Amino acid sequence: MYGWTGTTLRVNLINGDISKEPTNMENARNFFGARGLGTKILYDEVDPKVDALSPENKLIFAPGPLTGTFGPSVGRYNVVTKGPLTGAIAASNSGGSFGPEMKFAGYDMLILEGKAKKPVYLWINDGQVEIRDASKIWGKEVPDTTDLIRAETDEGAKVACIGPAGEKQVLFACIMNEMYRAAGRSGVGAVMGSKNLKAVAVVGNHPVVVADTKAFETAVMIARAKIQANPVGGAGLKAYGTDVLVNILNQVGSLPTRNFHDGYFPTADKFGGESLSKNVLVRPKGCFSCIISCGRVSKVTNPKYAGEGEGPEYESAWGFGADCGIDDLDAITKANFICNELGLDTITMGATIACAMDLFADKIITEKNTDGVTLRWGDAETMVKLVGMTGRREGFGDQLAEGSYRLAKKYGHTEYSMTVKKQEMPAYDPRGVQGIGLNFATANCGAAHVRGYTIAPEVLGNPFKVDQHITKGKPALVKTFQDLTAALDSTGACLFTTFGIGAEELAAMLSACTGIAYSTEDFMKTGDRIWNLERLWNLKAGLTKADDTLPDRVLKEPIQTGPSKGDISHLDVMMPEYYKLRGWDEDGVPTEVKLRSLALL
Amino acid sequence: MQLAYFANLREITGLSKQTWNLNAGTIGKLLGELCSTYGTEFRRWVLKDDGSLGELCIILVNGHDIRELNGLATQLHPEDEISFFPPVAGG
Repeated sequence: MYGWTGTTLRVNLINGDISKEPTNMENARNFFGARGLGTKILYDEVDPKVDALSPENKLIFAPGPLTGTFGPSVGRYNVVTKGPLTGAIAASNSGGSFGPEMKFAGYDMLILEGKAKKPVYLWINDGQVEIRDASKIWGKEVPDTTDLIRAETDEGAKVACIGPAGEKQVLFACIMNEMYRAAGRSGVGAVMGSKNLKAVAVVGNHPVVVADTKAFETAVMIARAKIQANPVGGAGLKAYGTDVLVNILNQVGSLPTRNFHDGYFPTADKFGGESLSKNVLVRPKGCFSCIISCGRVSKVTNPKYAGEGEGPEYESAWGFGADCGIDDLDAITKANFICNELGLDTITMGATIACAMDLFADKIITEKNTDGVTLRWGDAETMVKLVGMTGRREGFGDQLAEGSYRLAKKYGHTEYSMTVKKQEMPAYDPRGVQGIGLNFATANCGAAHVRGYTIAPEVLGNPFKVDQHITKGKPALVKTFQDLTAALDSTGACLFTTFGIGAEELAAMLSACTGIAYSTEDFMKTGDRIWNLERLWNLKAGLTKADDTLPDRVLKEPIQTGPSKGDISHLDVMMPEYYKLRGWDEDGVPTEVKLRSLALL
Repeated sequence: MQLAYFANLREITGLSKQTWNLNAGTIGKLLGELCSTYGTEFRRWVLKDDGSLGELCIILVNGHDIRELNGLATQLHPEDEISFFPPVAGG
């Protein structure tokens, strides 16, 4: 077996059964691993209509065939499940070292079923697997949880866990691994909490074997050289981290500001990557096998917000920053630290607070509804306080814990929630950048920038420049990026490798690794296949073309100031062509012809 | 006109912004003057060896990318705001 380990671990938390079964290699061939293979399992085994927080939902941890090899930046894994925030398929991607360790222990996938009677954690010690009591750890934050479990198992164990937010089933709770890496979106941490599963700890001792070592070395050297030659992958991300995007998005007038009321925030520079490097950065950090090192180890010394940890990333800085009208970097960084400690998705957290501020500003909610908390744009201190309250479902935090859509709906004004499929849009204004808006509207997991990151060509000009303001060509661009990313996510490689390499280089590495000859076309077709399987699952879950839209604010209200002043999203122009390119009918349903072409029928 | 520098261009120029007097000219002419002022370290991020626009370098005039205007021949006016970014990325 090459690339893959050939073994899937299945754990029934109801009766404690632990079984090792052969990985279905036909599925592996057709869906690779990670996001793709996890999606295939979810499709085959989970009724899309189940309640996401019920024992009938399954939680799948899956690295990819490249994960754990000596490829460049190939340490990723996915958590696949039904997302409680969205009711749609969730495939949350994380880095660090947990994914490789799963491979070293011998597993392509971990499938968790049912619900334990009391809090437990799973200990995977190479070939030995145990369900252990977690009652003494339940309630602990992520860092303490990680330390305690390592003390009980192995100091070198890689631990993926939930904090109090997941235990309390905050709908956007995340799963944290190595304390600071997150399978962030859609509430996968809440699913873990609903199963009374506190953590998965793993140690493994078997290297991943590749089919053709010489060919793999060659493919890796080519990929590595291209990534390092690219000024972004080679040096830019290491120097400033992802937060460097604050100023570029602001300067093109597409930095969503105050809950998407505007696209330009005059004091954004105070929390951009340049300020972060100067004021809170300790050092860069990378994941397993990473040659890019975009991560930030950081520290705030200001006594008001003192703390240490990692981040903030661009999306996080934006969510607690411009989206809330805040420019205090120390407060933003502290909010990020608290999210890591409690296990919360930073994007949804920041955007939900922004929604609450917006509702308060328009007097739709008052102190009577917020348990006495006064909400004002720009109030950093209250913002930080609300993050902690949300992670523990305390006071008004209990309402915020449901996400912005349910919060706004409670008060009869869903138009204040900047979501798609109930998941909050990230840090790019679809009015100023047309293609990313189409991506937000069509991503199967709900609004997510990483599903088809057209910001790269539309704003950054990487690998080529397209005009961000036009719609022409965007449906094809979005589809290409979505298919490429779906395939890449399913190999275990990091999305940031694409600032340097593309389908050709990824296919070459995958072929040499697995021994299966994938052409560039095969690679992209696999991405298309994964995308369509996710779509089918969502349609069965009850989502329709009505969910492929954007909030009215970005469809109808122009950006007020800055270089993109006057812009709105022209989603209606792009969507019919997108459906057609996808091979779907007018209702966004994949046709039989399309499904047969992908061997999904 | 107002110039704004970002990422490592701040370290190279020692500035985050400055006022620049350029009487009727183009981005190309401006870059020539800036390279003369800030040297080869600045030049390598904004221009290729052959004098064409640097790969992945982002130059905005009033928030609009010069690659969508007239490239190095983009005309400048005294009231313009020009932003300079070396290759950046994130997500």
